[in-house]
Amino acid sequence: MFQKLYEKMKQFPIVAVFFLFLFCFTILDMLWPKRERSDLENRELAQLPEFSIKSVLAAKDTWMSQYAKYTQDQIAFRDSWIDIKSRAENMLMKTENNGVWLGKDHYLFAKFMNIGSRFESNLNAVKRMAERHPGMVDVMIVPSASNILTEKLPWRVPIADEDAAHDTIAQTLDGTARVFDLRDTLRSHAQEYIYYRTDHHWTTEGAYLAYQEYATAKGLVPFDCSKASKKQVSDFYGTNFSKARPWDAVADTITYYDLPNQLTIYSAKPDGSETAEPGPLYNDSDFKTRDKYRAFLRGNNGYSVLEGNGEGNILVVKDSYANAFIPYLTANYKTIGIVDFRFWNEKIDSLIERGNYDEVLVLYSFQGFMDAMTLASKIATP
Amino acid sequence: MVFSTVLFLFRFLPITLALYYIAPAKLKNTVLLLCSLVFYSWGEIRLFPVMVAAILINYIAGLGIERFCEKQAVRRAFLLFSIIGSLGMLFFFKYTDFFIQNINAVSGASLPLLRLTLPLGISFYTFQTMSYSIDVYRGDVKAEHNIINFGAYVVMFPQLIAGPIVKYSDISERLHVLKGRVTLDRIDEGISLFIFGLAKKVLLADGISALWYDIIGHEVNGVWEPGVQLANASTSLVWLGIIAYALQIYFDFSGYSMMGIGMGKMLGFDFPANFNLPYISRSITEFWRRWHITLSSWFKEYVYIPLGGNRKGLARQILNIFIVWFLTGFWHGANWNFIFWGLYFCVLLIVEKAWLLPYLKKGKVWPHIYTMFLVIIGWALFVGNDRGVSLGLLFRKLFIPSGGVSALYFLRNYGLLLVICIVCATPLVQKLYDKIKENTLMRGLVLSLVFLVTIAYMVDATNSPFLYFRF
Repeated sequence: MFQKLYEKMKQFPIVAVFFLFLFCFTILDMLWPKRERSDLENRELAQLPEFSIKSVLAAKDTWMSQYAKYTQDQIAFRDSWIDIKSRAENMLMKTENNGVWLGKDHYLFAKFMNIGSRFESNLNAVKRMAERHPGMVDVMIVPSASNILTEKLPWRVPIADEDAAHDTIAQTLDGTARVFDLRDTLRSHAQEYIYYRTDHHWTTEGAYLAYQEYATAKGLVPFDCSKASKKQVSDFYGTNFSKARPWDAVADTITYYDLPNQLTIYSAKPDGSETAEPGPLYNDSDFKTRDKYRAFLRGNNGYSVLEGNGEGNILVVKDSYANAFIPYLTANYKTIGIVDFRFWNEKIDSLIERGNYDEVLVLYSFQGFMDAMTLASKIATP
Repeated sequence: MVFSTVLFLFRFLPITLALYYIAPAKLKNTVLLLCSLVFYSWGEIRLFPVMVAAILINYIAGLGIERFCEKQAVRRAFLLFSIIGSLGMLFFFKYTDFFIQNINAVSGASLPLLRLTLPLGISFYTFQTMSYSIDVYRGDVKAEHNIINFGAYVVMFPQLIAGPIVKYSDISERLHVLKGRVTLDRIDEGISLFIFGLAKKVLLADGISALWYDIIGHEVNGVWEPGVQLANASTSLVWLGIIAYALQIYFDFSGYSMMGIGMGKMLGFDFPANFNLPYISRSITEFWRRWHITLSSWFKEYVYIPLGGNRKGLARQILNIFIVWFLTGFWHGANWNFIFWGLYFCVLLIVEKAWLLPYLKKGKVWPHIYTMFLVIIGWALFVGNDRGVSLGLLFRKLFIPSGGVSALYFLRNYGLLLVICIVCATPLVQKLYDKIKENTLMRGLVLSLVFLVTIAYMVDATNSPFLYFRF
């Protein structure tokens, strides 16, 4: 019988090869080791969902759809398949992949075609907070890399009008808060390494330019980089790389100043009580992982307090852009409160009272500010 | 289950094919039925009873019509039972909210909407089952006595969700061939069709869809990405976008049909063709002979001809055409824009029939331009109700020149893909492949390359259900 089948298959080699591939790959894929996370994509991968009748009959996100996701995420040679796609897209002469623009000199930019709908309401919330606390609030909305490194963008990208939004910020807050419009400063240093190529953040050097402007305006003696111990971590592939995974990406290098200051991270427990976890400013072990930017301030935490070497108390309301900036503030303040409202459920006035803060700095990346979902409700009203 | 997923390609398909091939001849239909039920339930287990009802109603109706062959009234009652059962389910799930909305709009009432989930593929399989009952009533086919065979026909996974619409008479013969149903030459042909169909969907349709979604926005992992927005787009960009949509819907839908036909072949069935290069048509009349062929022929056979077709005078013929196209539009979705879309083609077809067709036949280039232009305007009507689009704005953007986000970036980024899509919509690729095909090694290499690249794109895709799943 097998002899006969073999004779027949010889007439239809494509059938034989197709089934051989289909069945072998299926078996291989079933036996393939399962991963917790993908470093290449910098995300957790779906795991085998637990079977239950309830999850099978669920209205949404059924066991079956979770299982489909699981097989998709855990496919054998997943990283190689992704690499093949990236190369194919390259051959199609595409200048974007998975929502990331592939710029010149290996710069990657988040595809950004529209000012988010929350921009106005977040800005108004900042205004209301500043009106409640006159003279206390400084605002620094950091321009996107695509707003500064315009020469590196792909040809004629349909980019959102971020300049108009920065003008709106300045106009809206005029007279109620001090606005640091960083566009001129950063543009005049556009040839330097102020934004990461593969990550959506600014570099420690870029943040320093902003800090200099901040210190000058406030009449502070700036952090002295030459006296701090400067360290570098190479081989950094950031978030934009994880999305687009261009096969020809060039890794970034992270610079940081190793400071002895102590950072205490507060965590809220479900019962309402809090735990405090003191520790160093950076989580060194994160520098060894894929997600190296997480090392700054030991990641994005809800509320934490950094002990500085200066005077006065400042509260920084921020997204992850601030993580590269905040270490410089140790030179000027005694206590630096840091709150990320994505992970902390407490109103701003209560926080100000808790830490006895006499200054507030709102420090966001433009796109982080524009998309912030939990900011307005925390700051608009006391 | 979506064809373009790892789950389907490397779990469901190999397991089903293996079971089906290994099963003894007598049990093949049982295996097909059970596997197809798993396929259906994977996406819609809560609506499983709907499928069971569809099978039972038509199975019983078929038996009844046959049993009472002497009593016309009883036969008719069984036919009505089948049609009301099938159409009733379709109307209940697909059209109830549309009627409630219109009643509310007209009377000012505020009846609550039901917001039902549309059972996957209901528009397709209710039409398939109706073809069965009507054919049995007419005596064109024998009633199916074996409920397993009948069930296998109704839920057969390759064409269950988005066609082609396979009439029972199309496959009843193969369904009863037990020994030697599966043949290697069929499998060989089926593999090519499946791979090219999958590539059409994953590489071409999903690839070019990004251009249109860049304009109107779309949902990625549950989050709405707004895109440049229609209101900000320039007229040239909107034209480029709607052309991209025209390509997307063609490759999406014809890709699905091709995969369906290919897998049908692998199982030993010959489904009817559903698309024949519609975008090379030289008239709207020709377009509808090449686009979604099984739907048009269904309406022709079960609506147009029974209504009298062209045998009862011109006035009656025009009325019949009107009814068919009203229904065709309405079949595509419970919304006015789909009805307008159907009637738009109705008007064009009547104009062609009455006057234009002879001129179109003489022309060389302009009939192509004329046809594509009108088809693309049709797609604008078709898509006018999607999220991120409003029909009025879309047509203003298309026909009143306005500035805004320019088309240049999109031409640069999608240019090569656009050219590839356009070439693939012509007979050129088929001709080239027919030449290569003679050489088995070359054919194998082409298929392997296309298949591997398609898998790579499939793995890295976020989510891309087929457009026709909603219909």
